[in-house]
Amino acid sequence: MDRFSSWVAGQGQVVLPLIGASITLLSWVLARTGSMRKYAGRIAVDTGLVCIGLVAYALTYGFRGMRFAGASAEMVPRLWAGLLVVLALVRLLRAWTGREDPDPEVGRVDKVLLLMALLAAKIVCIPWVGYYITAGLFVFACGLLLGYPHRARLALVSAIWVAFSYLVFYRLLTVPLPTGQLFAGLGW
Amino acid sequence: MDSLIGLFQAARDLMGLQPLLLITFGVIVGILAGAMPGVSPSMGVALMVPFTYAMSPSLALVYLAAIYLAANYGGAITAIMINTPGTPSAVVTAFDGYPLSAQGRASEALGMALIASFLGGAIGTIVLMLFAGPLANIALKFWPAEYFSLSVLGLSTIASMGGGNALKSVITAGLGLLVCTVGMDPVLGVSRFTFGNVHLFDGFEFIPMLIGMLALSEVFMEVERFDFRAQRVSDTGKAKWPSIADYWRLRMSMIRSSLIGTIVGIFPGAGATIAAFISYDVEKRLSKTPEKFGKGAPEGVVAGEAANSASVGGALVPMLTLGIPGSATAAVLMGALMIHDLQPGPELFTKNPEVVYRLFAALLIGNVIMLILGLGGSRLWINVTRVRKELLFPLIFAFAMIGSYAVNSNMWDVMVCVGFGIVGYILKRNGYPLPPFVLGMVLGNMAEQNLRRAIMMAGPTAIFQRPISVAMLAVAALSFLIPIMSARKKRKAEQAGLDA
Repeated sequence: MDRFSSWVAGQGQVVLPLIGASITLLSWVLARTGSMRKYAGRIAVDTGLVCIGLVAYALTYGFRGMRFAGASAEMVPRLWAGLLVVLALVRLLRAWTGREDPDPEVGRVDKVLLLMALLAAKIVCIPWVGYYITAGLFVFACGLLLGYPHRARLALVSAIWVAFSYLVFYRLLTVPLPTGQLFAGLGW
Repeated sequence: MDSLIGLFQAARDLMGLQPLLLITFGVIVGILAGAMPGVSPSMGVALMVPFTYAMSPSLALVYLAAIYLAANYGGAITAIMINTPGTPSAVVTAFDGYPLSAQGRASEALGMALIASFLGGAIGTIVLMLFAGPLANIALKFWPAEYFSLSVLGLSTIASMGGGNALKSVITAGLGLLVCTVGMDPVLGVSRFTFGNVHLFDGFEFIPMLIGMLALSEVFMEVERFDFRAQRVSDTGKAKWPSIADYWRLRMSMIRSSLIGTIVGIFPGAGATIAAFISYDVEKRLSKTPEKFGKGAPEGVVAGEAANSASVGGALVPMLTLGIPGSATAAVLMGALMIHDLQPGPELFTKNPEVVYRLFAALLIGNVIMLILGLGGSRLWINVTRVRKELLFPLIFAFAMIGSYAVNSNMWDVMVCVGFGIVGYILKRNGYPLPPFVLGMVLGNMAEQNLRRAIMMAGPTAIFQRPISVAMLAVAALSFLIPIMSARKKRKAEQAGLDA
């Protein structure tokens, strides 16, 4: 058990979540290609929840610290993780046996994914080009992506948003909004 | 009688131009702080403390208390209009406030929230004035076992949140409770699920997670549906304000929730959010149409708002009488009092009674000013629903991100917000209700800390050794099982009807 605890506290922190993610992906692929196609989403989500519970439970063996009067650090996480595993397993079984509603109809998931990519791009860009430029561009690009027809009005709204964040958050609330390494490097 | 004379004297003192302007300004600051995600009521009060250095102690307290009072109402505005609760306690208001707004009934939701806040604030203050001493003594008798049972009682409300699927509710609550254990263990300081990331040592910040889970996930869902023309319901027709008859119909909900809010607010650490959740659950159980909750029930809006506003008075009870703050904002207020050489506790009533009475009077006057400003302001907020969603959604994203950043001034919180937004979207798309997750996050720490403390003090059976604790656990078990069993009974009856 000591060897397992040491492994969990080290490499296990990377390996176990990766195994969990792989199992979730595999369950989705298997369900998509088999007769459970209509339930693939639900099966993947429930499998993911079971994996989260199992990985969390396993990771508790890596907690290093003292115990005090029977109340250890792993007690409560194990309780919640165990509860999650058992209940998510029940749902998973129901999904596999077709006793659940099928997946909801797929809408404009492409738009959602593009939005998520835009959000990720914003997060990546802020430390480099700063908050103000990124925020302005983000509002503009996001509006275009969602199909707002008036570009001039959209540009104006983006500019107003940047001015609002500067005045309220930077000046009034003194939140140090990042100006970006690029401009800091240029000495601005 | 002395108290009443003291109160009238204090109210008369506050009727001057300077105190009234100060209370009005405090209410405006409070509403704005509450409405802005990332700026909590405690942060709003803390930011204003330096402005009070030159004021007299009474005026400083009056000003800061007005901010505290109004911030709880401010949180409802963004919760109703854009599903982004400005304060954690406003999350409950969003459950029904935002669906009402989406149905083109934003003015109704805002009106209900305002009146409920007003009534809740007034009842909380009156209870504070009348029962401060005895109530504080009851709260002081609670041990960790009772606090744990109180959190279990709070958790039992998830059974009625899942919209007929209790299993899904319990799973999302379990996930929330598990996420809550990320960070340093609160009792022994052991690092848990941090993966060596220093940002995780304090766990996930609540506000970014809340914004992600509720606001971003909702926007993702709406974008997936992408039928904005059909959803812009508020473009047509005039905004309908609730009538007096509407308010009258909800009077009992408001009074009940206000009383629950005040009582829960008294318990240190319980706070406005738990009060709002419990009141919401009680109203849902008592309602003849519980299926409407979560889809735009006015009772849901008033329950959350009345309870969180009433909890202000409750949270001030232990602060004024025992020197124990009942909430984070009460702790900041206490700090402000100490800056002005006033020591909260039993002696405050004997040494500086005028300060205490002015505080009571300020809360009552501030409440009236909040009502007046809210009535005028609500007509402005309604215009948000008239903004095209193609324009509103980018602004919600921008607001969510800057609000998350403002909490600790770091990009990590922005990532947490987006990450939980994606998780929330996946769960919501598959029919998992998100409110139980939030409840798990709210109650997780309180449940864990007190369970472990109780076990340390009295062994593994600690929570069953104290009568109040056992009674609360029994009520929790009943309140969890009854909605499940009645939902099952209803389903069976419907099935029998169909078969017939």
